[in-house]
Amino acid sequence: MTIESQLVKKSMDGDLDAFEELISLFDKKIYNYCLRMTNNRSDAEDLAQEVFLKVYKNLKNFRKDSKFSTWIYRIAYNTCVDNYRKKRLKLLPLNKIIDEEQQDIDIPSPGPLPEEQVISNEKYSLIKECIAQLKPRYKSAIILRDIHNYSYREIAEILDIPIGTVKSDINRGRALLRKVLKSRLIEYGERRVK
Amino acid sequence: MDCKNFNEYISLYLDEILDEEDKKEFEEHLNQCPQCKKEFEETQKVVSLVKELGEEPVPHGFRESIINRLGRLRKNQTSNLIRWIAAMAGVIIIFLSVKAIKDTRFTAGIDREVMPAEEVAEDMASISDDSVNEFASPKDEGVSAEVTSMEDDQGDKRASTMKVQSDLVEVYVQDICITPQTLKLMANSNGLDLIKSDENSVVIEIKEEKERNILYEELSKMGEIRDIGENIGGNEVKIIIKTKNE
Repeated sequence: MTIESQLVKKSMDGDLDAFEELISLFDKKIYNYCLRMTNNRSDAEDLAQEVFLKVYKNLKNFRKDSKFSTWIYRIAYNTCVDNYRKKRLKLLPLNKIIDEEQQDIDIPSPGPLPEEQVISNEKYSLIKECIAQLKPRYKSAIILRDIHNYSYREIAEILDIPIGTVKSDINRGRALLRKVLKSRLIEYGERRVK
Repeated sequence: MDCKNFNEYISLYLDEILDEEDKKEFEEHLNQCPQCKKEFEETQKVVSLVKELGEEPVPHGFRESIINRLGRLRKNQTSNLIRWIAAMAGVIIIFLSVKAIKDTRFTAGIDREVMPAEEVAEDMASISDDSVNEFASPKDEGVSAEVTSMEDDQGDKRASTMKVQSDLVEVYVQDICITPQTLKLMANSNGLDLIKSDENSVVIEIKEEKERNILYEELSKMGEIRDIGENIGGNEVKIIIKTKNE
């Protein structure tokens, strides 16, 4: 029995100390997942807390034959998607959310990536912003793959989708990210030239 | 491999999960198509930028905050449970009270023994002499016994709350063997003080409240009690023995 499953078992019996230990194994991962999904520290903290509360309340539904890490990421994904839907409803008129459809229209003419003009820190905050603007399924696939280093198979388990869908979502997500980043970098470059 | 296929394979190539054949075709196209090569290199750049982002530390007090919230959650659950139990207890009490009142009403003419004191007092006030028949004794002792046994545990509890209230009580007896002498013996065996007696009545002194309960309980064994005196709570009770057809 792994430490993880021992802690899960104790937590199921209402042992809050064991649950606190379980949180300590996953808090950084879940917080950072939520942070990249929202690109907002305060939202990420609220969402990550919500994830752990949901985990605790639903421990009895956790199937022992599945991996706890897969389960907690799935809860995190669902929590972020719910949050995205709520926010999207509020923000719809001014939405900046990148959709596939509009994506292909407002991409400027291809040119070199003018990243040399962008100071390193700003480049990173720009890419964080661009990730957060993608649809949940794409950004989730990219975050799990490129930041959390999960394999395609593990991502398929977490998001509960076929591996073929994971392949196309990762590829589609990266292509969108490239396009969005490029247009933002061009915008940024133009501002700096002026 | 055409440009469309190439595009679809960029990520799989970067993540090194293409099989040998696809990989070879991919690389061939990469070297032939400058446009696709540019897209490939840009994607490669973006992926390495994302990988460089890394993880940030968890906000201070994150874990404690969750544990606190869980602690509150559990307290709420406990107090909800207590509230629920209290509510259920309330429902049961109401149910039993309603049942007791209904049963008492049902047996009112048959078995006064199970009637609560308040009800007796209430009835007393409205009874005139010509309505004595209302208190006709059970025609069928079997029914009475059955009802009484049905009411056993509740009846027993209630017996202790019933008492003689006023200074004049009539006991309608069926058994002609019940005489003032019977009352004297009853008083004696229950520690009640006898003040005086004549051929159909006795006067008993009440020294403490619980003697009213004892008196009620004892008299109810002999017959139907009518608590008819005007003076409530006095320290003397006159008990008159009457027969049913009187």
